[in-house]
Amino acid sequence: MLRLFQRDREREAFEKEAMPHLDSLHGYAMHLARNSADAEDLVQETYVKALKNYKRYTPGTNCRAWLFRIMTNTFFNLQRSRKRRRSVGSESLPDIEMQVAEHHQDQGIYRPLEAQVLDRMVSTHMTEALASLPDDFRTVLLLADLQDFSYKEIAEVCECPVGTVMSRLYRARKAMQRKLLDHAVNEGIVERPELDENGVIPMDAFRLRGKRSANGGNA
Amino acid sequence: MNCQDIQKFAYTYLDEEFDERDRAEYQTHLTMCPPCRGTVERDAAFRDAVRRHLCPTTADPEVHDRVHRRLAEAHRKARMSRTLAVPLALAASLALAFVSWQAMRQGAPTEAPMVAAAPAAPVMTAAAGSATDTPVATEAVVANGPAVGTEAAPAAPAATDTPTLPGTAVAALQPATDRQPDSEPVLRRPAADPSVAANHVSDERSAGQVMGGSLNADSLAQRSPFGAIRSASSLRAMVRSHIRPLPPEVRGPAALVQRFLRERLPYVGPPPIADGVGVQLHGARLSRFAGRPVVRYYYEAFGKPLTVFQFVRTPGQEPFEDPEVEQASPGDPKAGEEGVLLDRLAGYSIVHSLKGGELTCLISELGGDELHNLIRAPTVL
Repeated sequence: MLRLFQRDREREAFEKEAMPHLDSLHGYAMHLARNSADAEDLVQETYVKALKNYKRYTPGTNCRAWLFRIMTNTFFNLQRSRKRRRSVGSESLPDIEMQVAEHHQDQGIYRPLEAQVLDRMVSTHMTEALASLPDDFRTVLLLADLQDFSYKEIAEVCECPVGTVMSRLYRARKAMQRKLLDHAVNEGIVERPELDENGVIPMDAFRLRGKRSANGGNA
Repeated sequence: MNCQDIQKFAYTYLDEEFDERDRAEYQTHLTMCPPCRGTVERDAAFRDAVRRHLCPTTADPEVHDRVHRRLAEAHRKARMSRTLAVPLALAASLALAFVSWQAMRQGAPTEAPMVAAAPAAPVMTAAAGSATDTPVATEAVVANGPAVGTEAAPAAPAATDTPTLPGTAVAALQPATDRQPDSEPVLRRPAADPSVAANHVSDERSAGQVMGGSLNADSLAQRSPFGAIRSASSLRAMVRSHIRPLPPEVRGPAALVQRFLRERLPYVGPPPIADGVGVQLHGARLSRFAGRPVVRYYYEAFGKPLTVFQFVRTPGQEPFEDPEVEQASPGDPKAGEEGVLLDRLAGYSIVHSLKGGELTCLISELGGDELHNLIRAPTVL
């Protein structure tokens, strides 16, 4: 009987500590799962798992990070099982895009967009750019920019070193910027950078372009 | 820090992850180097844009409610398992001992391949160790006795391929309750369900069968072939076969399945349930249940697997008859009516449909009503 009461108390303590994070977990789940039904399943699954493993949680430590870790792991397990079922991985596409983006960046084609340009981008472009990221990059970006976790906390959630968090975050943001630049070019908001015959942007032209746009901005 | 470092660590700076000394060094470089300042400003603008886009949201109150309910359910189950673990383990071992004693006295119906009837292998497993979190685990554990359904691949000789289920089948007897948060207790008594019980046996009798009273079942088994199918051990074998099916011999829509069956059976009627909204036939296999040939159909109905056993009529075998229909006097509304009977076992519904001596059994997690509607109006759907 004593044990039963203990269990009830445990649940009370759990709810008190874990339930306040439901909204932020749900927001995270919405971006991970990309539809509300799957997102809700993910939230429920996370809470049930957390309750089951509440004993392993040390009270007073970072409950929020702990819950996010459970959700992230649950999400990745789900993705893995889905991928296994699909057998042909459509997830490989963003990886290739990432590599292309990084290649372009190395070649100097890439340049970050200015604030005014970003303001003119529609939020659907942002959504698309975010969705194009591979899962582990998207996770890190969401944890940083949506949930305001520190690098150390993200490392805890993703169970990886801080250095990995930094590099993933860097690559995720650069890939997104590249995607947004493509959109901006397609919509005619900015001009496409000119390439020389080697597919590399000439540095002189690039510098001049910067001045031209700066002058244009002043005038 | 050189210009390259500034580019590389722009986000570390913007995310305020530098310690004080590095931050000061970074800022000094920025004040001295306008090009770097420009890039970092752009990175900052991008970071802000992403953050604005990803503004935090709140979940609907219904989502909160559902999470609370799901947690309460999980909590209730965990609580149950704690309370009942020890007494159930004891009860289970007693029940097992009783069943093995019974086993020595008589056999029980099994599902076996049509080609070679597999012998029912008594499974003596440590059921006591696998006490489940349900108040009725004792009954479920009884199923570990001699009545374990053996369904073997038809091509393989029975001696080499008779997969019997291990003691953990007790747990498998429950449907995936996680997906069914509002499910009733695992082993339900046959319900007094007016819509289904058009021709329902009295609760008293079927309760005796389902609750594992093998004496009652035996007497029924002796009385009629249909009684044998509805005996507790036979129902368990059906549910077990539903949970862990062998792969179908033919996969595909009704046309393919029928062609397959026509090549192998003297007479083949249409599939028991026509494809329709929410119902789809996935395949079939020839099998044997309780000593009779059956066609086993694999359906998916409303997202849940549905198993249908269609007993194949063979010459020389007694037709299935529902004693209650038979006994009804001519003026009785039951007389001449098609017999649809519902049994429930371990959270599964088993609907028996008896038409002109032909028996079809449906097994699924779906409710008795839904199953009844499926079998009653096969062409409408």
